[in-house]
Amino acid sequence: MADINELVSGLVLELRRGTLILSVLSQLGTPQYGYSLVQKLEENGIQIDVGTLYPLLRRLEKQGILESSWELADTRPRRYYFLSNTGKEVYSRMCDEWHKMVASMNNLID
Amino acid sequence: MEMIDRYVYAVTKRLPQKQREDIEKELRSLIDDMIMERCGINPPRDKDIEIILTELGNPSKLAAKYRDDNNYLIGPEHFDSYIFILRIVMAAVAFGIAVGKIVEFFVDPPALVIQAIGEFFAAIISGAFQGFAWVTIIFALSERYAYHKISGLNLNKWSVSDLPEIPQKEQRIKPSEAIVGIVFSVLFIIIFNFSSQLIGVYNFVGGKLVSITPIFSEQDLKNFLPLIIVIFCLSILKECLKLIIGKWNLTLGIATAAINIISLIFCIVLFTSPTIWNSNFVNELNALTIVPQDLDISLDVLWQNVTNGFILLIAFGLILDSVVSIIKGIKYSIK
Repeated sequence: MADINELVSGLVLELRRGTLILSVLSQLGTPQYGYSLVQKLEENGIQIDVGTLYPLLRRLEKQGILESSWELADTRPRRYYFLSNTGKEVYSRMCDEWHKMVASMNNLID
Repeated sequence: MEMIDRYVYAVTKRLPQKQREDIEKELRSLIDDMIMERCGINPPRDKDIEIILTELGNPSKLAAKYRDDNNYLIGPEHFDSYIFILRIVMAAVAFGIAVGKIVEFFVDPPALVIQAIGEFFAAIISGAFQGFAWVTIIFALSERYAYHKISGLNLNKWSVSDLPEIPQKEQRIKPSEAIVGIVFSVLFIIIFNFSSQLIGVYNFVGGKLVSITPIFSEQDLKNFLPLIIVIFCLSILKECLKLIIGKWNLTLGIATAAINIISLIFCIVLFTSPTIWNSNFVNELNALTIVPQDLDISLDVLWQNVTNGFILLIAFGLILDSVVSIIKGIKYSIK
């Protein structure tokens, strides 16, 4: 039998994985570069691995949800990501789904 | 700083050329940000860089996350059939080569037994490698270029009505039958290719093999070799269809008959060629004292009958198989 803490942390990780994209989209109403996004999420208690976030941003851009541009900030070039028009629509629909899901889940577990 | 270069290189070398430059730029800016976060305006020490790169993780894993295409040769959906075909091919090749080599040993006993045994295993291993390579190459190519286009559609459009009916007991084709057929075809291809002189009448004197009188003219057989290989490949194709479809139905019956008819045409072309038979066969046999002298008919006539009868026998076999296949096909298609 695996340690119960280990089991829980594995399952929590899985749960969190599903919320990752929504967390990322929520912060991209204003342009952010990858690392500032990590910090913003961390401030709000969402841990994300940089090695996961960067490829994810590129994938979302490829899907047309995000747009990006290189900009100079603090004398260093950084790639800023932000929601495209499609992305804004996707995000608001995802939020609706999220609220529904939370409500259903609360019903289930309370 | 050198460590950073090495890390970035380790990631980007695993990425497609056109994405490299862009990802490298982004990765470097990320690492700079992480250094800034950790050390502020102080110059970073090696230890800091080490911690940051460790946090980024194994470069091959990071690269894999960037690459969203399949980084496998044969995907999980194809893997079962790959292993299945691979087993058949390996068995057929190993068995074919082993039998061929063993016959060769008896016919032409090697001077050095140890060397012969070595060659025996070397031939099987190199044959197995060839088989392995070809099957893998074919599957990898179809994975890359064809598979997703074809079966992606099938998978998405799947409905309950696609479920195959459970075949009646006699309707099922045992995989072993088809596999035996494939193995023997491969065996014959190998024999015709490498040791056609072994196909003949074996003359024994006092239990010892003294000579083999070949049935076919070796020279002519060489010219016809491509045709012979095509005939056996058709037979392999037929057995593969049986394996894939797995039960008798009208499609399989008709396909079997069609393949048989094509094979028959090729066989007629092959065996009606006047030069395919060993023209010295009768003389060679007569020269041996072992032929019984009290035969009722002369060897000449017998040989003539055999060669004519041979093609009739093949025609009979192929036509019978076709008729039986079509009958089975019709029988199991009508409920």
